[in-house]
Amino acid sequence: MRFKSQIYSRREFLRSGLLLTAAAGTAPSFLARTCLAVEDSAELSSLPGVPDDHILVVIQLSGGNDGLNTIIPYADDAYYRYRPTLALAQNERIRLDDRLAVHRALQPLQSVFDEGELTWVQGVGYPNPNRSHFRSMEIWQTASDAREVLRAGWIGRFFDNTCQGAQPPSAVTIGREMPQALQTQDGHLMGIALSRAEHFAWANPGLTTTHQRRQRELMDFLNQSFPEPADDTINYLQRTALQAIESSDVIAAADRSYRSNVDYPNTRFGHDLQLISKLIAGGVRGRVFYASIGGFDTHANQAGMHTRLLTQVAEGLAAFRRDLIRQRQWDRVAVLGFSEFGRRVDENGSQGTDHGAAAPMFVMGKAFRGGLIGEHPSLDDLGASDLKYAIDFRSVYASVLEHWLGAPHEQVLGRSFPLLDLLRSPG
Amino acid sequence: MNALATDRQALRPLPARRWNRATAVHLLNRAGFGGTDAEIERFTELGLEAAVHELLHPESVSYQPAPPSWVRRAEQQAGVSVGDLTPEQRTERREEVARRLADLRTWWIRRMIRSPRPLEEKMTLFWHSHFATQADKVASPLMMYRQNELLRRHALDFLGVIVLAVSRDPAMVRFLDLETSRKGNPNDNFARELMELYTLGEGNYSEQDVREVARAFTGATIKDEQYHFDAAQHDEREKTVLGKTGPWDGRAVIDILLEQESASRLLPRKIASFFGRPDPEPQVLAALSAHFNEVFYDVRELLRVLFMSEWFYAPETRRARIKSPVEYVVGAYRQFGVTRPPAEITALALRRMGQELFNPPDVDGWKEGATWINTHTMMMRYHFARFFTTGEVVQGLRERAGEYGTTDGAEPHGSLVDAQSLVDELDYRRPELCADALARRVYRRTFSPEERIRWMDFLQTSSSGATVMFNLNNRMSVGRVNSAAYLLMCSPEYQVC
Repeated sequence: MRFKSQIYSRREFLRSGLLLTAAAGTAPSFLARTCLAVEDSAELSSLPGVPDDHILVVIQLSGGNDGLNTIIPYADDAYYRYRPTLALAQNERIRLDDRLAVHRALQPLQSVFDEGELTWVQGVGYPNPNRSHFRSMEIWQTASDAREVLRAGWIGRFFDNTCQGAQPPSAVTIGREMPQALQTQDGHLMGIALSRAEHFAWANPGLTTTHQRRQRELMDFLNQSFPEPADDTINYLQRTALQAIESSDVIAAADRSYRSNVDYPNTRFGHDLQLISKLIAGGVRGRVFYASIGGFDTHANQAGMHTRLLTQVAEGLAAFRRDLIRQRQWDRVAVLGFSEFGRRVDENGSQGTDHGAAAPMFVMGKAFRGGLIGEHPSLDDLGASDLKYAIDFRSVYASVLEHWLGAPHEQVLGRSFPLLDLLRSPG
Repeated sequence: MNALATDRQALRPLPARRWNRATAVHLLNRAGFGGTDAEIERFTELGLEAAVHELLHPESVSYQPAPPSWVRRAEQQAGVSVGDLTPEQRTERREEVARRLADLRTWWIRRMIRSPRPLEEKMTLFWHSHFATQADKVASPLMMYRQNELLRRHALDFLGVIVLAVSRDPAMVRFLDLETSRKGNPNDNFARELMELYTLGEGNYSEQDVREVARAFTGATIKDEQYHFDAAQHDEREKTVLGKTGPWDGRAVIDILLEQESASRLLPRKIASFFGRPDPEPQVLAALSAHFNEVFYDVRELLRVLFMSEWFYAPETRRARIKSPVEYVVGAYRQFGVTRPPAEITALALRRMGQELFNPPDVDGWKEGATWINTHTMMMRYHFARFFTTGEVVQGLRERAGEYGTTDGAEPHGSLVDAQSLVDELDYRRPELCADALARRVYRRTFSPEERIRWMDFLQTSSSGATVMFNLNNRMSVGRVNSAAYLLMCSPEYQVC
């Protein structure tokens, strides 16, 4: 058995999503050339006028959020007919205008909405809606048509199309599983995943003793060569191992330097958002952060569960925004929220709702115009008993890509979509 | 033994003469959680056909472990509604549920380590993912335990029997909201997953079919934690499912579903990628589907053809599977003879690696393959390996107070490797033999000359960089062996089987 060393090409390793700050610690020599990233180095973006330091935070509401009880057409009688037990009464909602209200659980975000930093895009969906969790989520993550199956994710393709320069920024997933949205054309998942900074510290971070250095050497050896033949699986394992070990120091540094007196809700989602804030404040070069909150698949006894979940979302995001403002990072952050489908208009026999179609998305950030975009789907004009969409979700992606991330959306999404007027002062 | 048609070349059997120790290792890795030295010996001697036969007939191997100790009491408590309890009692009850669930996890892990019927446990784990059911929602450890035993009982049964049994399993009935799905007001949670995930696959039925199937499964209720069919809640009227009209109930619908062509493809594909390669070739899948159809969807026979095939033992199939967290952890315990694993750390490690037993993340279970591995989960494997080989519990494997584990079995401190047991006492000063032993134990192979030199060098270098004598009587040498084992358990090769 003979070894074949497989040193990654510099470009290949960079593309795998190494995160570096100006204060990067030790690194193996073949990476030394890349360890010189400075957070504010000048880089050209694809579109002029869009700064390169913009960050997108994607929030996935998993399970199918009930849009009809998120933004409520309370003045429409049909709403109460369809939902004898689930319709929200006046004291369960917050009035927005003379036709629409939001779920009362969104109270923590009401001031954000009033200040014009929260935008609801109504009636979002796509043609031939699919009601399978798995399939519809795949459609949203790959930005495909309902009838085509794509492998690469929309954010992965964003990185494919726009990462130029010596030190391309990357993506960070908060959680134990990385979304397909981050899959690039060559099949890799962009960036790193972690769930808690303190869990990400490798037991052997420093190189204080010779023995630890030997351990580290052997780890590098085991992850850079392999008894022939090594295949895709082994390559993937090696690359992930090297990423994890390298990123561990970077994450630990951001964790140590974080200072904040903002109270986050004591929920997993709250902790996840705080971790994102830590990393942003710590100068970790993530261009996209991805977090998710599950439980929205409310087939039975929806009322309590939906309220709890929206509360978690609202409290978490409100704290997140407060924290980023204090850290003086809010200006460069936009938050995008979505779910794989809405729910059916009429409630079922279990005080819940089954899988539906169109639903609202939200965008949060200082640069956006805020308020309501699009029309609430009509309850009198349904498609196969479901709410009809009016805005293709890829238009929302396209607008965020162009106006916030400075990327040409046709290249990323495969074709042209009508852009929405999302920005406060159009860019 | 079933004869294979000549057009099933893709699954032609492995010639008996090609059976050897390496194939035995591979079979035990995939059909179980890795073999012990003794098991590998025995299987090597049995030969292909007898080895496969033993795996496929767990009933021929005697094994009668007791259920978890709390089950008897829980059965007595069944029927006491939470509404009858005081708030204090309710809190107590919640804590009891958490304790029992933790104990159930430990019970199953121990069973996976100890059972002489490895395929039975591996298939139970497979079905657990296929018919994903979340304990958090079911909120009854007793129901989760019974579902686990149900999956085990039917592990190698006919698919129709398994699906029918699961459709009447209380944990499933609760989890997919069958118990609130009533005549005139059904919900389509179970109906959808039955077709999408359990039998046909997405795209092989219509939305209308989902609604009709939902009607057919009305009437399922739970009484005293047992399944109870309530005829008054059942929609007995006509339904049209996949073109067939009649007053179908659940059983009739399952029959209709299993007549569909897509039903002959879904499970074989999952089985082939779970036990074989992540992306099996179309001709292999076609041959498996054809065979599955021929044997009336007998899962045992499907597995027989798979485990006997040349394809299963091909180089491209070996080492192609990324171990799930359970395989990683249980495999390590088995390799080093740990039969009473530390309960809390094991549970925490599995959860953080992404596989909390009885709480799959989604209705479609665990996705397997490369999805097990990202920087977070890799780090967790390193933390577990560190604990396993040195006893050190780093921050990543710590939890706040309040985690319940079993009350019996103290948490060990120190390494689980037992370096001195790797070689004969006479050979304590032979680092090359120790390195060989590590390779055999951890990698189930021999080191190449280059590897051997590198590891020997590691074993003989002190923490200050000096070359020292190797002696397993000496604490420092033992520490280096543990360190070497740690690195091997972190390596890419150890993540696959």
